[in-house]
Amino acid sequence: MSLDSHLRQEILETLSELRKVSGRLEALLTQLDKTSGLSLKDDAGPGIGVFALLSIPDHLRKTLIILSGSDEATARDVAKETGRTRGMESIYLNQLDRMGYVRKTRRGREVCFSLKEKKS
Amino acid sequence: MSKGGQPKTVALHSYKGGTGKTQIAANLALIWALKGRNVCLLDYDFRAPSIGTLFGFDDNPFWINDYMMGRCEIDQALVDVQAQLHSGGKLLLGLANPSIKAAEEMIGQNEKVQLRSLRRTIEAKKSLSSKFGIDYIVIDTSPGPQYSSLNAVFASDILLVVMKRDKADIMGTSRMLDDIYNRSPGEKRILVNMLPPELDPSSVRAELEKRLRVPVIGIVPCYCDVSAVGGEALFALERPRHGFVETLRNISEESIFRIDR
Repeated sequence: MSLDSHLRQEILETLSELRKVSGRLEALLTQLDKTSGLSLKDDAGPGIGVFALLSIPDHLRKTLIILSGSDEATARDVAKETGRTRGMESIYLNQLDRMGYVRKTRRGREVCFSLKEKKS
Repeated sequence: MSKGGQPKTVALHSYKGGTGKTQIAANLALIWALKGRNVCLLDYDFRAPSIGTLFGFDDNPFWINDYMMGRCEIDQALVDVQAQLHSGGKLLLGLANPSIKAAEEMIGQNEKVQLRSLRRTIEAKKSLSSKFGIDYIVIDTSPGPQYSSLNAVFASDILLVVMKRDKADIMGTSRMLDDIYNRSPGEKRILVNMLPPELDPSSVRAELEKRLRVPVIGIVPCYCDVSAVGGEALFALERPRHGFVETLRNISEESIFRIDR
């Protein structure tokens, strides 16, 4: 096996491991959101206002502010504006989805996120 | 003229009213425009608009209020005052409607409209840069925790917290830093205005930086004439050698305002 293909194989295996870890983290985060009271899904308030932005963690607020400037955006679109990686924004957007701030829609191969004006 | 650099959105806010935000916002905008930059000055002080009075406009077909409420596009809500400068770059004003009815409409909005206003602010930022080649967007706001001011704070690249050096303002600014300012993604700077002559600026700077843990970008001494006629005179245009203008000019040249080309 050449050095290149050996490296490629190693990268693919590492990626597969990372995907498994990411899946486990997602599951843990969902559990954490449910127990920490961060989730808005149980809250029957009238809607997400600008003041609600003050009460969410800094890294998520940055993502949410950028998302509030468009109808809908992918993790890649948000990453272009925040300067963070697409993967990182994907994690943050999914966390915001679990917290009830954003709506997640699959469009072909892309996953699009939009702001929820009403809590669910 | 913009050459494609990233524009800077500068929001001015304060805990209390009467700190001189509007005068500083208008004069900073003028200083940059007179230097050949393209500037847009937006009045987000929907409770007490005064940029229009400063520049001599009190009747417009559309106001920033209309843009926020989705009744017009951003370009329809802008007034071009480049002719007043005689030279320099573009200066566009987005004025707030001074009528009581308009103020009432803007204040009593539900969360949905508050959030839509944030979206309109971010859309305006993009549009002002791509359509008009704007270098600086300067936003004057209402003091205290108003939702419209919060929108400006959240959308800003640089937040200038304007304050006087008095106990109530220091306490209030400290609370605003903890609860609001430090939760916005942009850079923060303190701008001290109306410093009494008996106080030493370098001691005040050290005291505030220690207390508030935010850099002080500049200290403007107290000028009685600015306070007396500030609401009706454009100092940067009419009295460009005035100490108030000179101090703001130095602040406008700080590296934080530099636009990457």
